Amino acid sequence: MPKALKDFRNVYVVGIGFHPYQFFSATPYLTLGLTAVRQALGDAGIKWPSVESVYHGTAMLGMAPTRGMLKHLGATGIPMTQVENASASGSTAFRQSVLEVAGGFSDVSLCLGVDKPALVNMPGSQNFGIRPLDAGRIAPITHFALLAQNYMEKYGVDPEDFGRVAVKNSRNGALNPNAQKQRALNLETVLEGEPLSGVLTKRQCCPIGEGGAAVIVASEEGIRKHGIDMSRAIKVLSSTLTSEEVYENATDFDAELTRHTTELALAQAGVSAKELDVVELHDAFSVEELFYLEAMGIAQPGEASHMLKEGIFDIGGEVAVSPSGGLLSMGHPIGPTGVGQIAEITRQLRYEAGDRQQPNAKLGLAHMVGLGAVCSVHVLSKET
Amino acid sequence: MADSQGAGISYAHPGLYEVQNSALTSVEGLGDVSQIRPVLKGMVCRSCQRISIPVQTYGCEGCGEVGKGLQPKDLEPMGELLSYALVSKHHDKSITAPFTMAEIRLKEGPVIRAALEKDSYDSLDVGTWMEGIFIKHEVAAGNDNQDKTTQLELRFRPGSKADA
Repeated sequence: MPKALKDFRNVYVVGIGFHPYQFFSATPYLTLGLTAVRQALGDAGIKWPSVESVYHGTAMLGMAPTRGMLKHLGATGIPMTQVENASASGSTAFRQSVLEVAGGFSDVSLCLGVDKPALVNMPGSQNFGIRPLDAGRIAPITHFALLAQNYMEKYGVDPEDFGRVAVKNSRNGALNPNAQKQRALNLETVLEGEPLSGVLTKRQCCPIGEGGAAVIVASEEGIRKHGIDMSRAIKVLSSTLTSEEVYENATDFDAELTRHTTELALAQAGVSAKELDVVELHDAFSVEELFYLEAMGIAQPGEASHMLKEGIFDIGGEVAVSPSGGLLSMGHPIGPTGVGQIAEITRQLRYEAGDRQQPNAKLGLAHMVGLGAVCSVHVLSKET
Repeated sequence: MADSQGAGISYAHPGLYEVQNSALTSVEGLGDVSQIRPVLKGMVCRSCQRISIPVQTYGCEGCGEVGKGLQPKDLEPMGELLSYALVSKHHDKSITAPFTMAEIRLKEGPVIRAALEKDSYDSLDVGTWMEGIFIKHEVAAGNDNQDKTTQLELRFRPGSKADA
């Protein structure tokens, strides 16, 4: 029987860092990455030579971008690996760092996400070998626009219910100095934005951008060996990664994948969805937040929009959803996204989130879906 | 838009659909191509009986069967409208918007996503029975004489279940 993370050594997040997410600029990716890594090292209170392995989530930088960046911290000869898993690249890189430490291969591992926008080959392109019937007309936004229309018919919700997700997350992003979009939007502004596909307007789609995020994980031995402050360490309770199966509802695969992966992650962590205080999820498009909250079991089917309206997912509500601003406002630079989620959960569980602090946050969950499709879920806890 | 001359009839998306009547070898000069019946080129797995589209030889997603276990199967382009979306803007500049995409459950089971006949609709009802029809485009023939040739593209529109 496959083992779970709890069957291995305990793993803790001990350092976090960012280069703020931003629109495409002339900033070299070395600056994006090194800024985030130096901040994470400082946050952990350790020096670069203490790091024993690196996993770099990136989908846009091309071949071998990591060593040429990190050599500027001093070339120590440690193993460095790029991890590409579409939108879940950063989450998958984090999982690799966690497994590295849990398995005893490193006591301290760095996970970072760095990317800059670039054109990439997508599944369904000429090189794939199979041409889809939609002939490229179904971009991700239209995939979710079709699901949104279906959801509206099924549960009797209206476009305003989706728009409220963007309103909430923009409010959170306005409090986050690392967010790509730091302006709170009202519902009217969200809904009157440029229509792109189905009910989705421009303000309900995450921005494309660039940035850096870094997380350092360590074992208890690593924490002791390097004098890291255990009181700020956040325990990783579970790490799951799955890929799409054949579902009865073939087109709603993102939610089915989320349901299965979250169930696994919560079971391995020994907690329930109702116990979660903070959730960072894959809200590339506003509608996804409602779909995934229901798939995770945080809301019953058809209930997420009502709970959102009641403020249950606000900072200060029963469970703060995307307190960073989510992909919608924090941004979605691909590689950094999943790493940044872990950093935000860590900040929340340390009670260091300032104006964005969810009161009494003890248990957090990070969720990303990657094109393909894959899904990654991590559960983190503030040990008391 | 992809370009293929095929065996006498040119299709916008070769290998995904064709005319049902194999005796029809040319559509040049035909006025109304919407009367030509299309078929979708799907496949069935002999091992798990899964019907899927498009036809391919790489392996069955349901069970991994490959080779002779995967058989081509023509599917009728008819089914129930599950969802739709008017696409006002597309990131790929070679794809002209607006257009309307639909999600349709074919009568033989698979769910497909395909473009509708008209760019936009005043109203569409989920549950409507949809039928596939051909529309035509005049495209460059690919020779040096700047000739045009007729290319068929499969689109869907509201239809009658009685025709199914």
